[in-house]
Amino acid sequence: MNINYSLIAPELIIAFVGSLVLCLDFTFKQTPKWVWSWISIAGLGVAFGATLWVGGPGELMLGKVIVVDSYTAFFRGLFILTAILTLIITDLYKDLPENVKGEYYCLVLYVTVGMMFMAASTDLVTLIVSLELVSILCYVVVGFMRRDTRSVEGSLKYFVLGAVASGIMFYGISILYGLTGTFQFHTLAERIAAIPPENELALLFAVVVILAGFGFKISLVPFHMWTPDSYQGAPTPFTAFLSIAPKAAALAAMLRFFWVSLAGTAEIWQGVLTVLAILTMTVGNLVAITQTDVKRMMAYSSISQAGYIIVGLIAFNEMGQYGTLFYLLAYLFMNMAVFIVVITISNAVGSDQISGYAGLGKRAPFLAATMVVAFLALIGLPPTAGFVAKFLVFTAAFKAGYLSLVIAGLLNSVISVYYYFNVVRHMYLEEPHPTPVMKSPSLYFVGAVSTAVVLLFGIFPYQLIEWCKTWATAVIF
Amino acid sequence: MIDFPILTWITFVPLIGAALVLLIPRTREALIKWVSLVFTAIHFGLAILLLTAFNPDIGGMKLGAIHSGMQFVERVPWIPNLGISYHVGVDGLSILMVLLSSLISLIAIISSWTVSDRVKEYFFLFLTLETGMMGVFVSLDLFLFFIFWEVMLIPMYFLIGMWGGPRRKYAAIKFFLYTLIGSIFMLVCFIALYLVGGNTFDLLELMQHVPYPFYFALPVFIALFIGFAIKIPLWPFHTWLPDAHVEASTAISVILAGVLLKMGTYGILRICYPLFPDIAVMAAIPMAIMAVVNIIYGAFLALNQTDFKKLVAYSSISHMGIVLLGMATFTDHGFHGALLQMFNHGTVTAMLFLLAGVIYDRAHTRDMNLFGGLGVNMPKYNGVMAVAAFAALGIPGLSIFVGEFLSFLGAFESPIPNMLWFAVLATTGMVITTGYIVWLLQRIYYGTLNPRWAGLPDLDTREILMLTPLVLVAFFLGVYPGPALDLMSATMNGLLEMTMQPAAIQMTTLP
Repeated sequence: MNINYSLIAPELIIAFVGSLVLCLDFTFKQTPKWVWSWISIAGLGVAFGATLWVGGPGELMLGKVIVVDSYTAFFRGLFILTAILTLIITDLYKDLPENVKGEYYCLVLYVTVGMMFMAASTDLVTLIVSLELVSILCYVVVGFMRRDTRSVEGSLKYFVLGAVASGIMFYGISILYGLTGTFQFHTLAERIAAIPPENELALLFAVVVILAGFGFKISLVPFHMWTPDSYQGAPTPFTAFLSIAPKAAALAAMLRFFWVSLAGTAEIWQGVLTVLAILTMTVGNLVAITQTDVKRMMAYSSISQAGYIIVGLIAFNEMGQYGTLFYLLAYLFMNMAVFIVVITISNAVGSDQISGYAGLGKRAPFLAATMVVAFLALIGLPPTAGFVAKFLVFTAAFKAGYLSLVIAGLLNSVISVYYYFNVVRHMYLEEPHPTPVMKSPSLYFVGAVSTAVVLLFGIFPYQLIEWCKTWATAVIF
Repeated sequence: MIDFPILTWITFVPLIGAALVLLIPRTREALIKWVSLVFTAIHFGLAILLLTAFNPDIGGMKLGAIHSGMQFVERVPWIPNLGISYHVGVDGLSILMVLLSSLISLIAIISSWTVSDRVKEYFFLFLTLETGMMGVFVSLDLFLFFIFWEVMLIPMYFLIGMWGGPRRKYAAIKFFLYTLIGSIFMLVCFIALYLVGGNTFDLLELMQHVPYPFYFALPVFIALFIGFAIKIPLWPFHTWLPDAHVEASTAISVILAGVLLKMGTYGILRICYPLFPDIAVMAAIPMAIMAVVNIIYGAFLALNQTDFKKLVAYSSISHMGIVLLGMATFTDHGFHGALLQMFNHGTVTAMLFLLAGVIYDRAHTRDMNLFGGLGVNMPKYNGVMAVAAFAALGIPGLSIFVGEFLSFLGAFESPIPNMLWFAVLATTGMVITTGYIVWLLQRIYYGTLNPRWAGLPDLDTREILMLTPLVLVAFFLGVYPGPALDLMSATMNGLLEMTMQPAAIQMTTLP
């Protein structure tokens, strides 16, 4: 078999750099860790270049289990960007012990490879393998701060619940295999259409069970229980990563699988997901209001955001497709911006309590402004990319006739104002917390880039929407 | 005559100022203030220039004709793949609001001169707010309108929350949440219109589809109306107003009452009426009921207050009711009166809030029962106060009288059955208004002087400077409202024609 390896060059490069960093770290124990960090970032940069170079020719490869199309290319780019930003901000996070950083970089790189394969897979077995690669590595990294009991607790919870969810999902997939005799996405679509009526109940069961598995990965209510604990326990830079990338990966796989293979059963999953989406937004937002720890608050915030993002999936139309991609890209930058501030405050104050943010508007005006812009984007207020993103997915849902979903989503934006602005209130309207804030150039850099992107694509979204349209058209190959 | 994109300039000049303020070091407070003043003065100057070049004989929007009536139109594709353009223009309806907004901004900047805490942030937010307000009044694209509407909200939250009174945090978030709920209603309607009206947000293009099918138009009209009603605010959505107005600092109260409240009624006239003329006429009686409730309930609440600012805040609710009543009459007098009342209420309430601020700056209390006889040692202040109070009361010869009179006249002439009785009820509200205004004057200015306040100084030059234009406007439009009415006439008649034609058809075909 003639395999065109150049098509998976980005994955190969990252895997190679990851292994290299691991070996070098074992060999040269005395070298300062930032060297490995920059090697990893350089590797990711090269992989990003390779992604652009490979593009999306739309070829199925490795025995038709993955496809390299523009949709894959989009997600490759998204994951690489997230990994780069995560590594940049990891360097500044004090609580992560120096001696484990080498392994940490390596694991982040491997997770990135796993996610890239998830987005590319067109075969359920490949999907399962790459999904497990991502999940298991995430369990490990969440528990990386071994001396912190919360970290261990978060990791264990994530692992136990994650294993159950994966098991359930595989069960569903096995039923689907039993019904159709294939793992391939597009063959599945044909065979599902031919399923005799007496087996429809089994099909329904399989779809719902698979949905539950995916629901766990993107933390939909009621499968969200692991999220707050693991987000709180994980090293903060990895929390940022966790709240963006694995979710995007699961969503990428979900979009392809549901829109291609399960298109025939759209009514089933659209109905179930509508209920889950409304539940997710509402529970996420309501519980976030009561949080006093910013990391937990952001965990619930990311739960509710998952509820908004799948609105595009439910809409199941062209606008929903590119809207979802737009949303994910915007979400990457808005969440990154928030976590930069979280890391700075955690370094300065030593905790993640909201009270530590008091008077940040005076202590560090730039960081506070970054946070405000990111929050406005997360709420979905103009002139930010978050508004355009929400506008796209909700308009798509409206177009598809899901008025209730639109109204629930918009009302939830109002609820979310309350807890986001609780932090804003602390930053601007309360007396300053006595601890001064350390100002570090690379955090400011990531903050400035994120804010600029969020505002730029909020005010001039035309070009990005056009790009998202081209990237998204490849989903259904 | 004007060969540069004046509306873009008028909208974004304050934003340029805001960017400059951001660059000035925070210790140079005087420079920050002067930069803000200069940019706001340019903002106002451009509005005057716009006024001189405006042709009042051209009517406003007309059904089915894209470029009809709007002047100084700029239309550039902005997000063409979503059917969104940067589309601005003015007609007789918006020109008055543009003037009001820029005038009140200028006066509020002068009134903000005493700000000493976090000056840089204050003026940055204030200038951003000016851009948001102006944008709302000139946008002809619903998406653009919505963006400006929201952009205005965020600086307002901080301006109330950071420089307000003791309960400012509560007032700020309450204001934010209430307005945001209103925005949500608007956004849903805009998306619905976008999907039904052929993938465009352009107001003039959407008007080509009028009349919309009844079962689409009715819910959309109601939802949009609620969205705007929260801003006006109509009872029972009014509870954010006293909190926000009382807790905000003087200049911000002036902006809130002078400009922001008008956006609700402006939105109804600009968006609801032209898009759903038939529904609007059907809604005349419900609107009149709400208007009368606002007039009487607001007046009674004002009567009950001991806090100067709260009294003015509730009187705003009452006065905005008159605007809505004028709008609900569907007569040319009513429409003219409503729009004139919007302008006059803006200037007169601004004056009242400024005066409340003046006294609060000196006495550090606003409890009217503690005052008395201030007329003795503050004669200039008392003079301006008398003008403002009598204007608010609706004394002939001062501006508010004209708007009120026209609105009531419209109600008496209205083709809508039974509208007459609402006029009768509404005029009783005037009696209560007289009650609270006269009582206010009596408690603060007349009677024996409370020795505690004997040393209060009279108005200083800055205060006279910020009050004089408003006094002049109140006199001028009270004695000679002709120019203002001429400005709006063609547009308002066009709007009336637009609403009444399909309504006549509707009314005959309804079962």
